[in-house]
Amino acid sequence: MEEQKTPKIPVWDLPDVPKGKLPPHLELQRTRVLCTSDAPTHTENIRYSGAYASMGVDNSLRLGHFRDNFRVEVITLTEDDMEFDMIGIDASLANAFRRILIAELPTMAIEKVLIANNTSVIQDEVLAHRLGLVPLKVDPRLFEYMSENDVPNEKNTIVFKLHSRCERGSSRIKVLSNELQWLPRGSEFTLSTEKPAVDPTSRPRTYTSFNCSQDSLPEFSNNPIGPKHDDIMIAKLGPGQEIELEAHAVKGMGKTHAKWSPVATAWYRMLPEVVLLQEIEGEKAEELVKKCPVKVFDIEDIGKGRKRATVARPRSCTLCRECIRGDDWDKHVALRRVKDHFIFTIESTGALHPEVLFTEAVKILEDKCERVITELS
Amino acid sequence: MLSCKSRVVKLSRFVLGIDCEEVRRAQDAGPRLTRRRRHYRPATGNSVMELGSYQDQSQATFSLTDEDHTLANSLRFTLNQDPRVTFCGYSIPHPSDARVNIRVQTTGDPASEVLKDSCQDLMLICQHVRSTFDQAVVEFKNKKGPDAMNIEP
Repeated sequence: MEEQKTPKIPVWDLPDVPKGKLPPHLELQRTRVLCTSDAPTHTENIRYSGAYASMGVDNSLRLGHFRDNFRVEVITLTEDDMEFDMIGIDASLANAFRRILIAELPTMAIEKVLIANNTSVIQDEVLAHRLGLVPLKVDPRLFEYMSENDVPNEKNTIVFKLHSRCERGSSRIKVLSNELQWLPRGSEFTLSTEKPAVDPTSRPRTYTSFNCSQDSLPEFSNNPIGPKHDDIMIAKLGPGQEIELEAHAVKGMGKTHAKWSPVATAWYRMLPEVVLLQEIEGEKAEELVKKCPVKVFDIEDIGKGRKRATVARPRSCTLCRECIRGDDWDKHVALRRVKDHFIFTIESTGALHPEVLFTEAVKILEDKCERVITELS
Repeated sequence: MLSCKSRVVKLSRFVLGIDCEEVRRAQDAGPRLTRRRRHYRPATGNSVMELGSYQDQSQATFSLTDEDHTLANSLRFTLNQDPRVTFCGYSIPHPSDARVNIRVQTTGDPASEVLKDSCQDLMLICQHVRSTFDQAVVEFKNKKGPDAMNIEP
């Protein structure tokens, strides 16, 4: 191969590196993850304020710049699911929101189960665990946390009753979540240590001490509390078996136990970017279309019977890298991810709507900052 | 050799300022604490500790209890973008301790002030995220509204 000869140019005749702007290759490394056939590269986010100081580029935090560039685009929004694009934010913040959604947003879940009778084949502790995982349709913001020394009252506890029996001689029955019956007046089980009351009109002491009935509170009067789904199987009963119990739900967070997590899951992915580095025509275009399992590419007619590959649906790219495998396909196609464009998905379990969950998550991060500020001053 | 070793142990106890009695009590209390499920709730009381020196306030380690990557990584992001910061990083010394240490070294300003400003920046970012998000949701619902009406007979 003939060596390419570069003409000798004195260094002072070379064009100046433009100040205040990154050269294109650095800009690409800064804003994109390059998905090459062996491994992704340039995955890190360069956040040090003086990282590009030698090129006259200020990398410090500019809130005005952030405000101008940050965008949110809602893609889908239903009662339980939401997908939206968050553009112009750092991964550390997107991840903070995700982590808070999963582990630090409170919900109500069954924590204590008082079992009066359980003759079913499912053991008490397994039954209690299953009950704990049933999502409850109730706004946790209306309740308080119950700490160790608190007595269960109408502000921190929701009580459900479950009494199901399968008669002898009948066939097996299913116990579904709709049999959980809300007791707005609190527990009905009396404390066994309690002596019979002197005054027969006063109510015997139970496992909870409610001052008033929960359904007399304005927030619940027209909105009874219950499980989000009516068809969750809790147990099966054979003839002659019976379950009688009371379940007490309290407020908690996902980091204590996953049953308190308000989301089935919350996740994000960076926007995939598929770039054709050269024109791909004819048979090669057909091959490319066939290579992609999620049909990212399409074929476009450019007249005179010539066909060209185009990137039609980059969003559906899973970065499986099938299209850059073999031969020198990576010279034709480049797979990248946009570092500051997040496709965020929230699947709510039903306590709150997904858009409310996200706003609450952001508020929690704000509270954390505020806590540090107040404690430092 | 033996005496030397015991001296080292003594010295390290002295440096850490831990009383033997305290250690024993903590160990006694250990299993009882673990048996109970710990309810996490918004922390109250003093939970940010600044470890630094009075001579040079430009560098300090802040030990935050009941915090994790969620806050520490976000704070590292805002701290790193502050031109006054020469170095910043965080670590979680032990996974079963709910504690995170954030190290901040600055060009001269007190580290605690710089950290406070970073928290302020993070709060402003969050507020902007929240308002932008709410606006986007309202817009989406408005756009969806008439469409949903059309579907109905």
